[in-house]
Amino acid sequence: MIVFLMAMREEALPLIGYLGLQRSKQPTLFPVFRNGDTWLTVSGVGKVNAAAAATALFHVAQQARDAVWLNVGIAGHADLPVGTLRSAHTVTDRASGARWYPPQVLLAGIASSPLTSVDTPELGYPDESLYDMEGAGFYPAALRCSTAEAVQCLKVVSDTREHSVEHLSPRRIGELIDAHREAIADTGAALREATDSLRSARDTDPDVAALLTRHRFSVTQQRQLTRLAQRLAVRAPGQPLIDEAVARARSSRAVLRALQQRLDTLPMQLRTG
Amino acid sequence: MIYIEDALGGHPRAQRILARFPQATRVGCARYTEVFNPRAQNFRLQKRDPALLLAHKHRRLVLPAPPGYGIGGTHNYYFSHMLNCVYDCRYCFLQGMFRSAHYVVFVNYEDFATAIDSTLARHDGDHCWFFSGYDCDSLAYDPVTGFAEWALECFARRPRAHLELRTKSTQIRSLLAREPLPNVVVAFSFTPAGAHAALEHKVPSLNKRLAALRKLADAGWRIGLRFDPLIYSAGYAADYRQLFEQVFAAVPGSSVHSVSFGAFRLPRDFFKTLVSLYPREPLFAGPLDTAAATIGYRNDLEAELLDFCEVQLRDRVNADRLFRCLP
Repeated sequence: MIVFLMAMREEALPLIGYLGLQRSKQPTLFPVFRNGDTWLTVSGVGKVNAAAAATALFHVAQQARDAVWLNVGIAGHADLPVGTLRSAHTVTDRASGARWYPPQVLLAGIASSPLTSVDTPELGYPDESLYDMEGAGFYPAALRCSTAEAVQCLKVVSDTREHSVEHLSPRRIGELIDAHREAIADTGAALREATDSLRSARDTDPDVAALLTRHRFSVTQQRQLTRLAQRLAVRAPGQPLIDEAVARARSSRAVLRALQQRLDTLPMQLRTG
Repeated sequence: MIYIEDALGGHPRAQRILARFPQATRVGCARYTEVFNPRAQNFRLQKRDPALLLAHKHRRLVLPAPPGYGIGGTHNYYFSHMLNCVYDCRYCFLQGMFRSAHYVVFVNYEDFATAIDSTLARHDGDHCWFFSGYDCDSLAYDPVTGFAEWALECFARRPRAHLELRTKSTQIRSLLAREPLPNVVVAFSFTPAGAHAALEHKVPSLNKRLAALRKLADAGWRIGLRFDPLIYSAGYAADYRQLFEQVFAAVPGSSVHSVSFGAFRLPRDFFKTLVSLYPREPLFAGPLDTAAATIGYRNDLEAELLDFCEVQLRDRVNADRLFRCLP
């Protein structure tokens, strides 16, 4: 799953079009757009809005763990060329001094910069940081929903010392994001592939659900059943979980015993398949 | 990406390391722990492209080695100039211990020397062992860290201190560049070919490591052989017999300082983390006693594996140089 969080509608429109997103009909606190497992929300400007929108979307989007969370938007910078796309390798909340370090392990091809989130537009650009108003609200909120590698801020330089923010029109904002829509979507897809691999590795055999409805398993036994099913899937790939012995079992304990006995008879190979 | 603690400033070793990566983005931080090991990090994802962290080690520079880690010495300690490893061995406890796969290099080596001196002073007149390959591979990242050159100089001046460099690498240039030291053992870890292929990702081939080992032995260095962890598989007996034949054929008996072996074991919490990272790893789906506080092979299989290997090793090395690692 990918979640895009954008502050302004003008920033969001290019991605909404490119990704074929439709306005969600669900009642939501913030506007939500969706196409399959790709979600986008428009938070409004500022840290509080960004944090609230991330939290709200987490609940709207089935509370999926290990999703990709991208805060995409425009940012100021002292002297980078207008239109430059950067990821944030640090996110600093100027007001509190809090700082986060998004791991840049899956962002090949996009150069990175520090990002400072401010409460009012920064017009002096005092250092080499990108300046925005959402990153430090978005990042800690999204970090509660996913793993740090999949939570990133992607910013397009919109204003600099030589190109004042005052001349930034809604149309120009849209153009700046639109110019990078492919790179942004590709980054999301690459991150999703990585996080999907984590999730698919944890998928459990559908027969586990069937067994859970047939017998009463305690919480501990449910965990044991899930792990036994995983181990059997690795040691004897392709073989059904419910064989004759398991089908005959009359209790949860007997099911676990039958599975453990089957596991114990399998030869140990260090490679599957 | 290289993260550097702000306080390191112009530390010469940090500067030397940075100079090796002129294209890398440099990011300052107050303490490396801001980047390394905070919550919500995934070791498996980070292992795809780990960053380098340059840091200063402030406390606990030299620590007592876990019981059962020694090779005949009475006083055993370890120290870590680095956290994490360039290799990706599926059985490695570091995956369970750390949330981050980034490499942390503590550049204040001289403070390790001071801590080693303090440790030696506590054991007046006695010899002490210092193991350097506990939280990392001692040599694998040596072209970057320059650790071996420093460590050899350090231990050359401290004859009461013994050093074990433990490695799976072939980075032996700094050892070959100088005369061997009687108080240094270069220990190589091995598993059979099948386990190496399945579990020791990015580790140089057995033949390359045996060639490195041979060069060191020929140069006069004392060699340690480490068969730890022992990995169980259906054909373990034939696999280990072949491995022992290959390894002992490559190194003259007179060069072998010590041989140690021990079964695959992990603390329960580390094991749970590893399973959540790699639920489809056959090693973790194997015949393990998952109810115990320390996860290892079922008692009967572990005893069978250990006893078989001990018999094989006793045929090849004197008992006074053979050590069974305790759990």
